[in-house]
Amino acid sequence: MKELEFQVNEALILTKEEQEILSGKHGEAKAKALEVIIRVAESLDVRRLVRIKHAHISGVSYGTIGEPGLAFIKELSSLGAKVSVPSSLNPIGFDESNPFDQGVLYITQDFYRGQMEILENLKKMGIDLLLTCTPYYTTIFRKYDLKSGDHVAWGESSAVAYANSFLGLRTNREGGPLALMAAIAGRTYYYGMHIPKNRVPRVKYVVDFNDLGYNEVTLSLVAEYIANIHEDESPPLLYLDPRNINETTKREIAATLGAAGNIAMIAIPGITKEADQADIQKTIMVKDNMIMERYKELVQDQNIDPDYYFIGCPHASEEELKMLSKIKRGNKLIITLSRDVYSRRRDLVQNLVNKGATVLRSTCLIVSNLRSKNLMIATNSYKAYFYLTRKGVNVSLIDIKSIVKRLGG
Amino acid sequence: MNIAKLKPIVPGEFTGEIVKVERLSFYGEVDAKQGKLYDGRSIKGKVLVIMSSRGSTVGSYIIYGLKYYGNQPLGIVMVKSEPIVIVGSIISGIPLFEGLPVDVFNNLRDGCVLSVDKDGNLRILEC
Repeated sequence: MKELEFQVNEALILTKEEQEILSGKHGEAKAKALEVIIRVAESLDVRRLVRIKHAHISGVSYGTIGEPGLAFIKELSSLGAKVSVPSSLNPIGFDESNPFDQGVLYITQDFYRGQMEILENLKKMGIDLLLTCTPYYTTIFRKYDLKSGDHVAWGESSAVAYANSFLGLRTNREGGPLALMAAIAGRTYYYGMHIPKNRVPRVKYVVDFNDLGYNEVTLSLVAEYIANIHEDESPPLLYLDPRNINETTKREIAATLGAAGNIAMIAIPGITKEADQADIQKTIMVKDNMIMERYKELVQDQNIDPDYYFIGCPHASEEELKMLSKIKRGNKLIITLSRDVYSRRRDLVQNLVNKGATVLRSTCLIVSNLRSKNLMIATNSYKAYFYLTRKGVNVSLIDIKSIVKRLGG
Repeated sequence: MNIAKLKPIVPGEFTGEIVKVERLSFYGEVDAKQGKLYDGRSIKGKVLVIMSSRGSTVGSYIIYGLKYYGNQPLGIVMVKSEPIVIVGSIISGIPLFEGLPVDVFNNLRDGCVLSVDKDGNLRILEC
């Protein structure tokens, strides 16, 4: 990490405690962490910082951050960094229960060593090794008493959009290192999604399909369309019948907004509180024909048999395990999920494993390493499509209900 | 000719050839170890000109990785910046400016040479 020079801008007001942290009274690591947050605050002309109740830290897999990320984390850790608020971690590069035998995934000894070193250093800081991109499917809400309206600092773009849109939590799209700094400093810059007026939608997207059905794939293509054209700083309002949205759809829309764009929140009437306060200046109709080209390009051709079906980007929910347990043939199915959901529904997991499915905890296909890139993967996740195709894998989209049918359910 | 006044986010100054990208997710679309974009263009020692960033929050670590491997661009110029890129640039000491007018962005192409001084004065030297 570079030696940081800074001068607190007059526009930024620090509390007495923040000044003390900065002076090093609470340790070098905490001072350093706050310095970085202040530099971000200054560059954004932010007036003050905000205390956070929780941090969710992305950039944990050795497969994504590699040696540079490890070096960065080690340096912070060597300064004696400790988190000052409850904090949790994103997925790692393999399933810890069986790192070297994971079928489609393959890791080297070096990868294993790097990953374990990252984890040890983060654990030393006092971070909960949740290892999931869906912290909202775990017990942390009860454990840390997280409620709508709470300020948090979350990395993981999909979880950020989910948190703002569907949980009422307030967080910006924090970069991995910033989320870690915020965890150590216990605060972040008061900006963007932390400020109530910035959460009020001004542009409305009315979804009106004639031919296409409403599912996580078609609505992810709508989310991609929105991510490409939405220019307003306020969150888009997605207007459609809430009956056309289930849990999988919510998660996949959030993940698409974070991958295809940089949108931290979307408001859906009947689901998102801020949708009721909308101050609409512009309405855009989204018809089937506007996404049809992408639909034809990306959606799984009925006649093609992929090598694998992949569910769990972001990590699968309990409901999805229930749906999938209806299948008859699982040998082509890969599911990734949190340890939390895994241990809660061992029965469903066992059922799926008995049918031949590969069930992996704490990791996923996009943060790990694939044995071969010469694969055809069909998934309900636009996010997986986005990142896997950039690794050279052939990916098509298919909704979970169709996967269940294809696998005999 | 002074084309535009940019806002310094991470201070610095640089003159160099540009590589232009509309929308960029540093994670997934930049290989830090090779110093290349996923379409194969090298960004090492270049001025990276971006309309807007997108994608993963891991992007900050990828920017740090560019510096770690000595493949960092001379500077980054954006139409609109985002905290993920700001944090990456801060911890890596890579100069970052925002406020590039869209019409200027549209007229730039790979190989144009521009300079940005510490106050954010943008000049196009060759294009």
